[in-house]
Amino acid sequence: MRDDISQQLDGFGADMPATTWASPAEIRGRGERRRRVRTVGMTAAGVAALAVVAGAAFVLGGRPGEPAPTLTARPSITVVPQLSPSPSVRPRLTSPSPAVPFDTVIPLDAMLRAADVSPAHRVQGGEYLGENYRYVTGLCQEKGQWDGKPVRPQLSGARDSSRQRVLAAGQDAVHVVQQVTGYGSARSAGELIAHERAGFEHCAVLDHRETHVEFEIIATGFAGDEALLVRMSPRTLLVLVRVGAVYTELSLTFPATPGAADVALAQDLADKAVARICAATTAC
Amino acid sequence: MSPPVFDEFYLGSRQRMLRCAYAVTGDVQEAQDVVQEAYARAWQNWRKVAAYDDPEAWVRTVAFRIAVSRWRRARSMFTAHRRHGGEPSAAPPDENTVALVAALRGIPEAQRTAIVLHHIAGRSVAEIAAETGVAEGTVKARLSRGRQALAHLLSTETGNSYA
Repeated sequence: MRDDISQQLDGFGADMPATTWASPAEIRGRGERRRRVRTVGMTAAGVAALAVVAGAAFVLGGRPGEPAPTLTARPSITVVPQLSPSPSVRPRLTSPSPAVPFDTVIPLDAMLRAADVSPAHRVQGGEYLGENYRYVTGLCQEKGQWDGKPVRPQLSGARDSSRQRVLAAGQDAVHVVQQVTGYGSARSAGELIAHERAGFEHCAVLDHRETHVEFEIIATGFAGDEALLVRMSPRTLLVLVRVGAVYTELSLTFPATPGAADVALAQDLADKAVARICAATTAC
Repeated sequence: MSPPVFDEFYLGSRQRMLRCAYAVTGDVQEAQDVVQEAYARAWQNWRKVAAYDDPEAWVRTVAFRIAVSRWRRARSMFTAHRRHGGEPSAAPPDENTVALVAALRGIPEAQRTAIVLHHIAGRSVAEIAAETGVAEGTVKARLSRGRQALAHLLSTETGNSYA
């Protein structure tokens, strides 16, 4: 015989009120938009490689239902320097880079390594499906708090590429999500930084239902050509860095202990990320 | 797979998905947001998702991850306030459901997920083990402890009978 708890659970939701759902077309439209702007996961190197081969006619990801694209050639990435296990040399960066062409993919070596965070950290496999701060700045726009300007630059076809990596070492250690994206030019990458900065400023305090978020820019110009260090919560720091035409973003979530958020670590990882990018791409 | 098949999948499974997401998030509106976002991601990856034996499990897993991610973020913010913004697309559920949801939110996340998958999504212990990547014994333990915790929170009696 079922006990009370089981009976209650089994009947859960039987009285769910009627809800107004998005239509299937709207859901598909949202999925299409995600695909177009996606800068996360989805074997970016392969996509970018195909894009280089196929040229501007290639559309990121293709439509579902179409045959899977077949890679027939690899892009001719020219000089990709070998990295030492620990990037100790910080590149010398001068004034903001000119809008020089950037026509390579983001190689794996451009990403932070687990050991850059700590010996205990490991690269997590699989696609990271968690949210990032853009969920909050998106809400902020929906609420009319920010008009989204200056606009986010569009990823423009063949030259764009992106990789994401998650570095973790259990619940008691900082959890790092890094994203590296190559834009067509330093100007585009700079526009992205300007867009994100405006988001942090306009959405400095956001309340929406159960979510209360405060963004605070706590440091700038500490790495690469442009850099922002943003506190999103007592245990979440965001690092945004532009290196020429390459943009990288680090989301650091620290353990839930008072004072765990380590600004020095965030800036150190920014330096290491820049070194990795400079050594593995033509961005510097 | 063509759009009509996805549409059929979405229309046929979304209410089931909403029940599960609601049990995890404790907020109908938030649950619906999460579910719709998960379906959008399913369409984004539809060629891959449609080929799975159980696409619904994929959507549910993604929905849970989104929900937990948002919930964790909300919990980690300076404070969490109940705010009412925008026009709700759903009326609030009855008080028994609200009480159960509140109790579910009072138990650990892993136990809540196991409870929701077993009792609300109708998954077997073996299926939950496969879906969450833990041993069957762990699932049974989570179900047992979760039910005990729920019973305590709801001040009702409980028993154990997991096969």
